[in-house]
Amino acid sequence: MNDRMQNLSRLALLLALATVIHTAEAVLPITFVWFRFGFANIIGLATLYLFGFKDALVVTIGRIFLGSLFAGLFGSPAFLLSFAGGTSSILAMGLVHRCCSRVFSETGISVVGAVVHNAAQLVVAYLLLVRNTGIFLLLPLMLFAAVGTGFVNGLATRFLVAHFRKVKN
Amino acid sequence: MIITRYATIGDWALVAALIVLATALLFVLPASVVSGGTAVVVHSGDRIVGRYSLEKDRRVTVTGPLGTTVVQIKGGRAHIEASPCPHKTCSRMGEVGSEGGLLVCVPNEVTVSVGSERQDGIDAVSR
Repeated sequence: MNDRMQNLSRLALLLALATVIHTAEAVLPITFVWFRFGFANIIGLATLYLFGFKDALVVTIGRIFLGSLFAGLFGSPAFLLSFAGGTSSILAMGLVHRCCSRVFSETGISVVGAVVHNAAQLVVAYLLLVRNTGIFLLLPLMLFAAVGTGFVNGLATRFLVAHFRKVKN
Repeated sequence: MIITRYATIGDWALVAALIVLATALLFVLPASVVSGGTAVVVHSGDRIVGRYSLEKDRRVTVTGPLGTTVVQIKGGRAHIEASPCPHKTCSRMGEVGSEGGLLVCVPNEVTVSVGSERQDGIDAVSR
């Protein structure tokens, strides 16, 4: 019982943390930086490493719903893009973490997540919003952005996970 | 080793592969997505307003949610001349010609692209 309570409160804490980061980033104007950093994914990925895929899925989907509610974007195209990107990204990261965590560390898996996130967003934007193949001209730019942000987030996750494990022991 | 301190060899290989891929796409995509076009295709939302030849100078008016966008075709190039959107980003995107390209007005949901005319016997698809 005590253990379950501990798990639940830990999950709640992680979800709250991810939601705050997600909301802060969602209300940030994107006039000078045309991409988002996706810092909230640091929490999602750290959860994947520390507590497993199920918790990471809860944290990711939960923060997208709560974050877009707080930012006033719930149900908007931005929410759809965020949801499609976030869900496919955490699924991809879970898969890679399971099959190839000996080849890739947090950094590599974060890059995979960022790339899948952007690719999924482009596909959904094409299917639901734009309907013009010209949108795929953005793919190389989004790949560059994904590699950069994914790498930075991956490093942050690495430090977070390492620190958490040190504190725990 | 400093290289493997923050990321594994696999991570670096992945990053390098993706950068190479993105750079390659940067050169390949524009040619394959839009190229060698002779027709200007004007969309409003997901509806095709019309296809117009680049050869003939004309003005096309498109009605979107905000109002009327005016597309000008002149001397083999298309340009968004007037738009009811607040920032006028579409007008400032410049012009597109037969080399292919895309002008977009997001607020008024108008896109102007140059692509080759369809060769499959279908004039247009309505949904």
